[in-house]
This record gives sequence, structure tokens and C-alpha cells, in this order.
Amino acid sequence: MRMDSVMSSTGEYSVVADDQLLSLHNLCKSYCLGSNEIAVLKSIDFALYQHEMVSVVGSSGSGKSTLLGIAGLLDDFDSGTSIFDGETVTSLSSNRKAEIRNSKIGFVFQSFNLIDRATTLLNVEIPLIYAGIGKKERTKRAREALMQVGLGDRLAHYPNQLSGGQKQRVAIARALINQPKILLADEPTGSLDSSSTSDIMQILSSLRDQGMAIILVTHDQNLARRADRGYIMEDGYIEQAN
Amino acid sequence: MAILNKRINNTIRLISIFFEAKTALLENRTRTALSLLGITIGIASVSIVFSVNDSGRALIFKELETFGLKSIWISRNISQISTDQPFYPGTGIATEDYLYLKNNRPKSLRVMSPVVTPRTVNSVVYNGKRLNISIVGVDSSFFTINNESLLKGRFFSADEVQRRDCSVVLSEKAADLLHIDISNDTHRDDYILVGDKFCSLVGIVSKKNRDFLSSINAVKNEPDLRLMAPYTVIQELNGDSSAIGHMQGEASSIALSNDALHRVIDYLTAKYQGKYAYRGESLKSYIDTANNILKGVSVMGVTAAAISLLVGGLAIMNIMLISVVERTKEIGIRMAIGARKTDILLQFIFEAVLISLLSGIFGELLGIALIKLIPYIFAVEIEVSVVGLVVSLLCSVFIGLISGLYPAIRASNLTPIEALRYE
Repeated sequence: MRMDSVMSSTGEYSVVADDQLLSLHNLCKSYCLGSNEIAVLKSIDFALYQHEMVSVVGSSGSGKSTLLGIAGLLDDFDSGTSIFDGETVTSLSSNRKAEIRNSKIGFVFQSFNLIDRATTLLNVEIPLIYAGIGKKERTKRAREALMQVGLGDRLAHYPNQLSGGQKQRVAIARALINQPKILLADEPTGSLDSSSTSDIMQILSSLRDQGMAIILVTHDQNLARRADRGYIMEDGYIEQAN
Repeated sequence: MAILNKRINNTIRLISIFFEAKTALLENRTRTALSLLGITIGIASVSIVFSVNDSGRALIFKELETFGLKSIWISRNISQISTDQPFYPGTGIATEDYLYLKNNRPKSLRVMSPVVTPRTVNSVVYNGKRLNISIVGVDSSFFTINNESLLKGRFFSADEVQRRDCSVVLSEKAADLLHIDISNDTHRDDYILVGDKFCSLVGIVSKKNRDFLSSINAVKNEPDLRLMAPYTVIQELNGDSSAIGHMQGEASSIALSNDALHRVIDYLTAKYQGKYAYRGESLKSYIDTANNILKGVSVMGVTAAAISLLVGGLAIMNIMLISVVERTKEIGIRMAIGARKTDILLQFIFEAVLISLLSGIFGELLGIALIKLIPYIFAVEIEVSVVGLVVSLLCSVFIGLISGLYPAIRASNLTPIEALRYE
């Protein structure tokens, strides 16, 4: 791994590898609960490189979901730096962040987060709408993506007509539709039975094999073992696992 | 090239977001339908107000036109004589005055005609049949001033007036009662006896419709039975070749009618050195009154419409605010997968505009239906105003924009992570 010294927009020198997709450095975040300020992330250092699956393990409330939200440009942080694919996140406009989320990031959530009133096909199409792709092309690509996750016969179904495992596969199809560089998975199997869990993990592993960078947030040590590297979070602190 | 691509992409985004808004509305049909109501009623009243106004104006002006919109009338004002002055008899207008004014008319006066009524004769005889009729002696210019339309034949000419030829023009109804067959020319050699004069019938003019204006007592209805003869002939009948009852003229424009009146009256007053006072009338005051009444009706109608549109707009805003709260999670999901603030903003604005536009269309249909019903209830025909339809559609789009804006801004200002965590 070749290391280069580049200057970040804050004027500090930071060390960035040319195949580094995401780097969080000395990152802090706290929530205000009434008059109490609760620190959820404390001096986080985190990195993700191309073609690797990294796991983040921690008990609930350890801050791992917050970390993923920040990594995915969904949430703000109080201090520290976040560099996403060469861009310093704090300097980005909300439009640019939306664009990055659209084109470079795919999200998979524990609760699937599908839009209930849209068909499977439309759910997968929506990222392409925001990418400004025409209807014909959208339908074609969404159909292909759904076929890849084995749901080619469920295009016109609505999310509530699908099983949990199927819903998560729709979510994965949606996450992948714009060929992102990073897949962020927040407890992707948390609501699934064991057979669906192994299906989903199978898909994630093969994606990694195809070169996708994946952050897998989980509280399940067994799943975490499938990753190339792992982090452990506890009470807002993070450290690399061996 | 990149910029062009971006522009095309943005257009596609816009269209796609629009179509998505449409599907969102179909989701909540009952709620959408209920929120349509206020705007529907408001827009229906806007279209009705416009149509009633347009048709009312058309009706009133069509009837006012039978007088000639630019007509002015000048006569002696007998009631305005002061008691300490001796009373001078007479009409106050002589033939020479008319001829002078005709040849030296002010710029504001386009043309003028005397109107002389017979002192004793009030009936005519044709083919052994006697008919009571209103007779006026006028100049050849009267026909254009008074906006007469010929049904048959011609008007009498200035030459005939000068020669004191008794060529007369009858109204349609009079011709009918005298059994004159309008469809052929056999009456050519027939004579109509006016007083002791044998007159030839040269033309027949059509009936003037003033039913509406006379039904509201705004004007007297035109007598159906009229005979117009050269004023020189009627003067001869009266045995007085000088007296003129009143004059009717045509101003150069409606706005100049008062000026024309003043100039004529000033001339006459100066000439008779205050012996006579004069009264002038024009249609201008009628036209102004008609316009004011129509404006009043419009203001009332528009106020009523505005209230229901306001209520309708608030209903849409309310429904959209509820929708934003209900779909907070969806907004979060959309933001997570790449929706910008403006995408969310537009989606909700589109929805509001669509609801509003839909109600607008329903409102117009309701309005048209009610307008079509009016003739069955009142004895007036109302035409649907196209301008009214266009204006009310624009109104409904505008209301959609306004009432959708606040909910849309609220939706687009949600932060992705909070919206996503909303349950």
C-alpha cells in the first residue's frame, strides 16, 4: 500500500493511500439530550480501502450506526476529518453529498428501508431517477439488478408481499443499481432468519470478491469473521481487532 | 457537452419526480378527493363569475348599442326656468340652429340629426287600414346615429329630405300589422297616408331588443310601431318649418360625448342669450353605470371565490403537512439514495400543484354545469367564458404552488439521518 502525503482542506497533512476510499480521523460527535451532551463518537480513526470488507462490531448504543451514518454522508459530526474518495466531506455542499450518496454509496439497512407504496421495480429504480436516467434505461437496469439477486419474478410485487430475505435482496439490488464504490450495510441480517442470513452474507461476500468495498456493521461475531479486517466499538471508542 | 448532459439529466429527473408525485396522490385517494373540495368550489365560482360578467356585459352592451353607444340627445329643459324670468314658448331649437351645427360641428361631434314629432298626427293609413304609430321626422343621418338596421329596402336620402319627398321607413312590427309583405316588392307603388300626405314606403327596419334593460327599468323599450319620415315633411305637417323638438347626434367617441354635448348646448345658450335652458343626455352615464354594476358583481363574486380558494389552499397545505410527517421515513430513504433537497422540494410542490390543478379542473366542470343550468332557472343565457376558464386554471396552479411551498420546504429541510430514523 503506497502512502502519499496530501494536504487536506483544513491545512493539516494527513496520510492517504491512493486506494483509500474512506478515512475518518480523530472524529467526534455528541448529541444533546436536553441540557446533557452525550458523546457518541470519541476520537474515531477509521479507514476503508478498495476491495475489502471491513466489519464494525459493537453492542447496541456503542455508536456503530452513528459511525455508519457519518461514513455514508448522512450525518454530520462535530470535529475531526472525514475524507471520502479524495473529497473532504466537511467542505461539501448538501447537493454534492446527495450526488455522492447517489453515485458512490449503496446502503443496506436492518429494516430494509424500502418505500412501501412503490413496487419492487420502482424501489430499485429510484436511485436512477435522482441520477437523471431515462425511464427505459432505468427499467432495464432495475430489472437486471433484481434478476441478479434472484427476484426477477417479483418485479411488480410490493414490499409487504415479500419475505424479509427478499426485501433485503431488493434493498441490495437498489444499493447496487448505480454501481457504487462502497456498500454500507447496517445490521443487514439483523431482522432475518438463519437461512436468509446466509443468503445475504453469500451475496455480500461475492460482491467483495468482485471488488466492492463493504463496511458491515453487526453485533454478530460470526458474521464479522467473514470480513477482511474488523473494528470493535465500545462506548464511542473504536479500535482495530486482530 | 458535460453541461448539456447535466441539463438533460436534470430534465429527466424533473419529469420522473413529477410522475412519482402523481402516483403518491393515487395512494391516498379519499384524502386527496376531500382536499379537492374547497378549490373545486372556489374555481367553480371563479368561472361562473367570469361567465356571468362576460355575458352580462355582452347583453347590456348589445341592448345599449340599439341607441348607438355614442349617441347624445339635446333638448330644451323646461323645468330649469327661473320664476323671475318671463316664459318664452317654443322648443328652443330651430332648423337654422341644426343646419348651423351640422355645417360647423365641433370635432367631438361626428354627425347630428333633428328629431321632430308631429303635433296632431299619431296614426297612418295603408291600404284602408289605420294604425296608431309613433312618428318621428329625422334627417337621413339619423339611421346611422340611432344604429338602425335595414330589413328591407333603403333609408331615405339627404336629397329626399331636402326636397321634402315623403319617403318613409317603417318598423318591422308596423309593417307586419299593416300586412305589408316584406318578402316581395309589391308595396313599391303603394302609399302610406301620413296625415294628409301620401308617402312612399322605401324601407323597413328591424326590431330593437331592449328587453333586459327595460325589464330592470334602466331604459324605455323601443316602441315596436315606428315610422320615420324626413323632418322637413313632418315640419310641413306641423305647419312650422322652424321648430325642432330635439336633436340626436353621434359623438366621435364615447369619451367625447360630454364634450360634444357641452359644445352644442353652449352654442344654443349663447345664441338665445339665456332665454332657454338645455338638457343634454348621452349613453356614457349608462355605460359607466353598467360597468360599475358589473364590476360590483365581479368584486362580490371574486371575494366569495377568494374565500373558498383560501380555505381550499389551507386544506391542501394541511394535507401536505400531514403527508410530509407521514412520509418522513420515505424522505429519509430518498435522501439516503441520492435525492437532493430540491428533489424533495419539487416532489411535494408537484403533489400540491397536481391536487390543486385537479380540483381546478373539477371546479371548471362544475362551473360549466351550473352555467348550463342558469337558463332553466333565470331567463338569461350565459355563455361560458374561455378567459374565465384559463384564469381559474392558472389560479388553481398558483394556489397549489403557494400552499405546497411551506410543506415542501419542511420536507426538504429534514436531515437525512433524522428522517431515516423516524418511525
